[in-house]
Amino acid sequence: MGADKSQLAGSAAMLIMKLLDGQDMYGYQMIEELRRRSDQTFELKAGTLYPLLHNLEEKGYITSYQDDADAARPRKYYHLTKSGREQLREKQVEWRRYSRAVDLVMGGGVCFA
Amino acid sequence: MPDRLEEYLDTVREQVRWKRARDGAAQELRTHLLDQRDAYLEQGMDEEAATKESVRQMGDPVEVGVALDRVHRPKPQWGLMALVGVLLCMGYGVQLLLREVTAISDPLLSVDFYDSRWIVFAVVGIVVMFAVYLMDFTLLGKRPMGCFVLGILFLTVVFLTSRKVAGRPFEIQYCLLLAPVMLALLLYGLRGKGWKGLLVDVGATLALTVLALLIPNVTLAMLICCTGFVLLMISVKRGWMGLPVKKGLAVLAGLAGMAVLIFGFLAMQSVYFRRRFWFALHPELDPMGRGYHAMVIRSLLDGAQWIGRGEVTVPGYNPIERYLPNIHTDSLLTWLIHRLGWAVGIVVIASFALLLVWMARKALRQRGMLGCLVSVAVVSTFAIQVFTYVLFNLGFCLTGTLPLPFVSYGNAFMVVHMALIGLALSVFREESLPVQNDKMQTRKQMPLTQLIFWKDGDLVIGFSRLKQIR
Repeated sequence: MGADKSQLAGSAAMLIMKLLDGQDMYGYQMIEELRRRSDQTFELKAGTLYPLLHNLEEKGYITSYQDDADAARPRKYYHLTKSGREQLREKQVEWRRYSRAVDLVMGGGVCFA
Repeated sequence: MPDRLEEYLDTVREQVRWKRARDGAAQELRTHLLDQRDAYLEQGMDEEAATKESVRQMGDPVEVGVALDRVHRPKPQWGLMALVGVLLCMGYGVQLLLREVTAISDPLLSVDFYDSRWIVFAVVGIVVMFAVYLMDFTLLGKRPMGCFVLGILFLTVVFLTSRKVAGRPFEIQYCLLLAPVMLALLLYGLRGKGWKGLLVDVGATLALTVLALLIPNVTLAMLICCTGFVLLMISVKRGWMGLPVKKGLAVLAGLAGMAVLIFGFLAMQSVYFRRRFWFALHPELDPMGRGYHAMVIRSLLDGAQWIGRGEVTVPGYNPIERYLPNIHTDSLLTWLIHRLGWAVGIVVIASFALLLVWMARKALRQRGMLGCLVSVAVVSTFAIQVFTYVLFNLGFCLTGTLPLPFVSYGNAFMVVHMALIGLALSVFREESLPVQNDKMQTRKQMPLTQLIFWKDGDLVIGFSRLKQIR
């Protein structure tokens, strides 16, 4: 379903930007790190990751640079830009509101009093 | 089995319709697949299974390719082209209106002498613009230094063989409008070369400025000098020169200050420059000599209406078409304000301002160094030309002026302007090509965490990477 897909893409973009908030990373590293931090829950497909990264770069939220230390395997690192950091902050606020609302509905019947 | 990987990548590549984007998009996927395969091999899988699994992990190649195709497409610049079209139409309208000037100022010429030539060169210009627009501008980046040296040779030959018009070599003047783009290429070739690169670039900028002063054309000299400075500043600020940013900018500011002081001192020492400056501010002190052009302009603007034909406030300047010099080229805006009113003049100036701001925003947004510098060079060239033209036509005639792009009569100038605009449009068209490498960006942006890091429980110091940064 379109809505679900865009929702998923939206949160994947947020998660990627969050990863890049700490340090610059290359694609493979991002997938590994996402898996580790989410306790093996998020298995982002590489085929989804790269178009998403290129899209974020196009929008100016991230920039890339190449590290040719290994000539046979040049690595493209991504770096979160200032406008990307702002976008991440907005997305985070939006996400907290959303997840709180879901929690309220899902856990609405539970009373700890 | 690398064949399986290549097959996968070929399928991805085929989905990307823009051929030039294909390799850039696939290169990153290849590195990823190899990393993934190595990880599986380390886990004990055999090579075939590892390859198969890493390809499976990547996802459907068609889907991946289509998603990449969606991001990497040429961006046609219809909006900017339409605006250039509007400016050209405006130019042609003005040239048709100028027939009445030709009839009075050059009674020996046929009235359509200027506009019939203008339209021929406008058509040639449009063809040139499209040709440059569709050309791959990154070809210039393959041999930037070679292009620069060729450019210098070309300019020298043109300078030596130019016809003299009014005592000054003529052809070199429009050819020198290409100097800022040459400086952009030089800087691209000097990326990461540090202080030595900066010194070479400053030397080249000064050499081209001196060439313009030898014509002598102060406006061109100023244009080259200012554009060269802007390009260098952007390169230092974005870390492309491989210099510490703050220190680099401080040195640039010092250099600019020194240049202004030295030029100011020399200009003030020269009686010629002192008088020129003085008469630019007070043309009324020499109304029949150095202040003549400015005086006619000022009196015409004094009598201009908001809309409609203005009055000639000084009876001696009537008919104005005979007394205002170079209406088809240098004084076109003044005449237009006098003939049709301030409203029309403001529309013309606003249209140029719109074009310049639109292009400048796009140019500064370019991610690649080459694209950014080339487009900034074009925008600065146009900006300084339009700025000096407007100043001149408002009665401040410190320096002479260059033709107003797309409007003024000026055959070869028109073609050069159109080629330059085509070059900028070509950069904007290709802005979504995957950024392949501007190696020197590594210097500035590689953070410490990639030099010293944990790997498999060991603290690693990446000396090989450190060497690369230096």
